[in-house]
Amino acid sequence: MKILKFCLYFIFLMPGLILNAGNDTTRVVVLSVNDMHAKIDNFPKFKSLVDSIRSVHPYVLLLSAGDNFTGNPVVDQYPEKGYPIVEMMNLTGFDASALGNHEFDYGQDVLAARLFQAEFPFLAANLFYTGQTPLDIKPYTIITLNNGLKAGILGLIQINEAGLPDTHPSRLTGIEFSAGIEVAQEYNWLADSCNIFIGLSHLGFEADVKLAEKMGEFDLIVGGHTHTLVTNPKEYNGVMVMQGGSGVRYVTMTTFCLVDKKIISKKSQILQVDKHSRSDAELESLLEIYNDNRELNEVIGKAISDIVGKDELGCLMTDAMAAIHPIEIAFQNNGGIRIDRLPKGEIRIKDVYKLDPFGNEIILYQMTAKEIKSLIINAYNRDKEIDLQVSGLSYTVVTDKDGFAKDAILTFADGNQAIENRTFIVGISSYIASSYTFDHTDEGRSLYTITAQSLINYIKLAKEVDYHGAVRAFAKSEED
Amino acid sequence: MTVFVNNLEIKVFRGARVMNAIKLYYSGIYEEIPKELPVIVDHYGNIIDFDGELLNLQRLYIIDPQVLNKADQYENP
Repeated sequence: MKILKFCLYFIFLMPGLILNAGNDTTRVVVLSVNDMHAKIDNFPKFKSLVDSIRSVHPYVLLLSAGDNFTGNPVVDQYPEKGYPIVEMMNLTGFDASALGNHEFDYGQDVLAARLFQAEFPFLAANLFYTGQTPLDIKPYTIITLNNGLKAGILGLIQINEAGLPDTHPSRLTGIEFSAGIEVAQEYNWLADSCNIFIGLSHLGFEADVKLAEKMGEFDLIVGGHTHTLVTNPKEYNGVMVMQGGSGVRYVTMTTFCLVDKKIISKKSQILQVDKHSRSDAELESLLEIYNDNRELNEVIGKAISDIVGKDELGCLMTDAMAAIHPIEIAFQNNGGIRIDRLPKGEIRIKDVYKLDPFGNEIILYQMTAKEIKSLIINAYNRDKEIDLQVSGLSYTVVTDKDGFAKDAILTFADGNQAIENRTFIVGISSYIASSYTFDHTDEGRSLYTITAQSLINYIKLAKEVDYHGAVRAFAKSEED
Repeated sequence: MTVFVNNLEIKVFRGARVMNAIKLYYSGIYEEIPKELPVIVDHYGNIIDFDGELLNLQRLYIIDPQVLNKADQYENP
């Protein structure tokens, strides 16, 4: 009987064992988010979603494709700027993050402190230190999973036409950057050193596709920067290219199937964080503490008297913009002034965000006096009334008999009028830059600073502000 | 920098976002931005957020929001 059992075992079971020997099948899941922009409100659900996937899949990598910072005053105004999202990323168990252009927004010293606190590396292969910088950025990392499989992850950061990431150049001292797609090719050896080779890119989706077409060695590129939601995951040159919108609303999930440590298939999909029904209790409690708004209650200065109406408030806002080097003249549209009064007394950060809640950035243009006049005249003619508040000069719109502006007289503080062809560095909000018609030969460039931040900095520095009776924009009929 | 919205060339300031290009597009064709914001897709048919950062020479297309509400189709595991 024993012999018969042994024979049956040998006949029916051994072939399976023989087939399985050397048929070591593993699934590795790569989850990614990108362009979180400090939106911590979704983190409790996001962590619960990640944990639920970890409970099913033993081998999960969690990545961020950069721009973790900037976009939520609770995080941006925290005493240790950016720390709340770093803490949440630590608790969620991130394995790596690309360095996004907005990681520089708080300055290098602050970034260095956040890098030190992060329990995961920030990656960018296409930056080089030319001077002293406190930053510890690695080009790549290799993560060894519990089963011995290795995932190589290469980081890349976006650069613009000027060869710099989209942040204020003053925050990039001591660092040089080169084209991510070119530098990435120097690291193609990582493909041979690892079982899975991932590009963690903050180049933007179109650039990621170009990278994939040049470097078929990648198994996956998870990207950020353009806030692209890849609705139909596709491979380009055999490389899956994914990106999941922004603001922790989506997670990309790519599942690799490996046999004998070789990838035999991969599949990507988008998960929606909002649709996940559960929430992580620890992060819920932490979120409640952060959203308590203690930081937004910080007193940053004092109003000597009530600052009332569009003129006085507009003068304050434009003075704050014009205080930034090298701005000489600044404009703010009335529609962007969202409160009627800043009362006498203490000014808190939350007051600034009530006054200027839109997150518009300051855009610099080099403009002639003639071009500035075209801006003022076109703005006036939108509703036949003063629409732009100003710093650096005062102006009088001259209207025709139908009430349309036909000219603008520009007057400087010393009483002199502007010479038509003299050029000025003008700062305007991104709303004006994209919504108003005006003549300009300069294409303009963002300072990557929001107008509200300029106001916070200005009031903090001034300590006390007094705008009682301030008016700089006037209109008169040509018949007067 | 230059981007294209519905194949129309748009000159926009450096560092602009998708919404800046879309506003300039509507301003250029003398139309108001629709009250129900349009959906913006890229050259590959992916949806792009309004606050997405633009790349030079990027192509954007405006489509009817009624046509596409892909986000509702995703099923989490």
